[in-house]
Amino acid sequence: MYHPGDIIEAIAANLRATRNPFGIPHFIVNRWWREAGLTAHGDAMLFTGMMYQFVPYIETSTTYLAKYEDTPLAAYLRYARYAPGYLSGLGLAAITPAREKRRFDRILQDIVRLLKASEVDFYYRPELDRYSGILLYDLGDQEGFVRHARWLANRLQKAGIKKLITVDPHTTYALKELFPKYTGVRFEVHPYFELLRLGGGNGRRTTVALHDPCFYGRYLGLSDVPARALADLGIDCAPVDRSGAYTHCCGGPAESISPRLAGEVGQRRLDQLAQTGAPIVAMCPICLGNLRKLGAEVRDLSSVMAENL
Amino acid sequence: MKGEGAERDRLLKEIAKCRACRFCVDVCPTYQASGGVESYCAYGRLQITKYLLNGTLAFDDALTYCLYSCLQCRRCEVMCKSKGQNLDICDILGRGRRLLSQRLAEEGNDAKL
Repeated sequence: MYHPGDIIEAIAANLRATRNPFGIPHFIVNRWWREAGLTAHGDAMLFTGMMYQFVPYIETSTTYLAKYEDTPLAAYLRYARYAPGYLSGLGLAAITPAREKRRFDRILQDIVRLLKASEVDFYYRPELDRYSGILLYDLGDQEGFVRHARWLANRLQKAGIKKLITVDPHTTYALKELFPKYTGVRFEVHPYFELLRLGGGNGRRTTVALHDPCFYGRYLGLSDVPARALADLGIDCAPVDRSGAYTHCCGGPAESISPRLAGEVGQRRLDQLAQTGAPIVAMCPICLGNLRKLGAEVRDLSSVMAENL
Repeated sequence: MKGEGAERDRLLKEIAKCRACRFCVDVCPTYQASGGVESYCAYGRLQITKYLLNGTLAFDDALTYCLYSCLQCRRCEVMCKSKGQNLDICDILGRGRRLLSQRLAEEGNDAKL
C-alpha cells in the first residue's frame, strides 16, 4: 500500500500546475481528434474528459507502483509532489508505448463513427476538452477538486457551451452530478450511447459479456441503455453474475493506492465475466484498463458497436 | 477548524444511524479480497471513521489503508437500502476521507484527526 497522502498530493500538485493529474502537456495527451474529421460547430459538444487518453499513462505508472508496493522504496513517493509537473509528465509520456496510446485513441474515433452513423449533430473543440478532476474527488481532496471544477466550468460557460456528450462514466458523473453541486454550473449531459440510433447492424448476431461499471450501474442507473444500443445492432448480452445495481467493481479505483488490491478485486470480476464464455466488453476506460492488465481480452463497447455497423 | 468540528458532528450523527445489521459486510469487494476481514467492509469502515472522529482510536497507517481501500463502488448502499436503513455509506466515508485528506496534506504521515 502507498500512503494516500503521498498519492493525493502528487496528483493535486500536478493538477494545480498543469491541469493534468500526470503533468503531461495537453497537446501530447489529446491527439486523437486530428484524424477524426470533426467540425467546431453544432448542437452538442463532444467532451472526452481525457479519461480514455489517460489509460495508457495510468497503466505505465501503475506498473511501476505495483513493482515497488510494500518495498522500502515506496516511501520515496512522498517526494513526488516536489517534482516539477511537466518534467515528470514528459518522462511518463516518453516511457508509455505509442501502440497503447493509439489503441485508446481509436476507441474515441469509434465513438465518433457511431455518433456520425446516428446522425447526431455534434462538434468538437479540443482546447475546451479537459480533465474533470474526478480522481481528486474520489481520493477525498474536495478542495482541489472544487478549485479545478470551477476553472473548467467557467471555461465552458464562457465559451457558451450548454450541451455535452460524454464518453466515460466518471466524467459523466462529475459533469452531471458534481459540477452543479460544487460549481453551481449545470450542463445538459448525455453519455454517447444514449444518443445512438443505429438500427439493423450488419446482420451478424453475436453475444457479449457486458461489464457494468459502478458509475453507470449504481451511481447513474444507466445500465439498460448500452444493452439496448447493442440489441439494436443484433448484439445480445449474456447474463453476467452480478450486473446492474448489483454489479461488481473492477478494482480500478484502488490502483493508485494499492495495485495489489486492485488486481485481487479485478480477478474476481474477471472470473464472473469469463463464466459466460462470451467475449468481454467494458464501457469505462478504468475498467477496461484494469481488466486488461489482468491478462484478459477485453474490448470497449464503442469498438464492438462500430465493428457491427 | 470550526467548520471541521461541525462536519465531524454531522458525520457522527449519520454513522449513529447504522443499526449494525451487517448485511453490507459480505457484498464488499475488498472484504472478499481480504479473505473476510471486517475492517475492509462498509460496516468496519464506518466504525473506524467513528472511532477516529471521536478520538477513541489514534490515526495510523493500517487504519488509513482501511479507509482509503474503499472502492466507492456503492455496492454496500444497495444492501443498506434494501434493508430499510438507506445510509449514504460512500458519501459518509468520502466525507471522512475529506477531513482526513486535509490533515494528511497538511501534516503528512504524522496526521491526526
